[in-house]
Amino acid sequence: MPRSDEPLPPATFFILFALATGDKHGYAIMQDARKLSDNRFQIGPATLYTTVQRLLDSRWIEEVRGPEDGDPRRRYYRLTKPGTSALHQEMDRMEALVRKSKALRLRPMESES
Amino acid sequence: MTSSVPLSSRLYGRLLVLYPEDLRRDYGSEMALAFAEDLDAARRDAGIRGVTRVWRCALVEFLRFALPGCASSPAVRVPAISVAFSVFSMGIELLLRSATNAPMRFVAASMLPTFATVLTPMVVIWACRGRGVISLDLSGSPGAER
Repeated sequence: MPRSDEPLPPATFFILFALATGDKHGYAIMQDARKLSDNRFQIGPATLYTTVQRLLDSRWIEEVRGPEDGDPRRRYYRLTKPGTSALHQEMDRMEALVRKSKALRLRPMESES
Repeated sequence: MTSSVPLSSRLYGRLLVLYPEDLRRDYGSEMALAFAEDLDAARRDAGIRGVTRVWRCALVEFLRFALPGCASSPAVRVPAISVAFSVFSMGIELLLRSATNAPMRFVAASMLPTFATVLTPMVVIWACRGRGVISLDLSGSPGAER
């Protein structure tokens, strides 16, 4: 996992982002990542499960029991407190960057656009 | 689900053999399931473009995750190249089969025999090496000692 002051890799960020809205299985995470990025970022199965394993190892996510009527082949994942904290930290970092870019007039202020 | 989706899923299942063992052992079945569902949804939403997008992503991942391991192990390098080559050729064939114009259909009809001609010697060489019938190790050849 990256240090807390480093930006998160895109796959890590979108997996955490997708799980912020509730427990999900792998394919649902893939779909959500695409929707959340407006179809600009696609996670394939190998990237997804390699990252999921890293996130499990660092306890940013945990495996949970799926719904009773769900497909038994699927495993469900949930965001933990450290994972939520890492996601918030990354969002704060992005927000700060946007604020700085606006202050430097690299992009127009909302009131000007 | 159209006929190309089960075929693609089978091909992906074959490709999984070449991924790192721990990833395959822990998540192989889920990876195959996620790929099949993604491909099916992409096919419904965007047709052949969707299928191409999913395969492109899978091949990029193959190059990133599977190929480095294959390249470091001579025992799997030749079959890995053969499988990758056949998956690539099947992918092209799938794309061409969906083409509507006659020239492309002609290319599709002649594609498989052409690739089979190229592929067969590679598979035979690999099989013979496994049984010790032939050796491709040139380090012990007279030319290598000079």
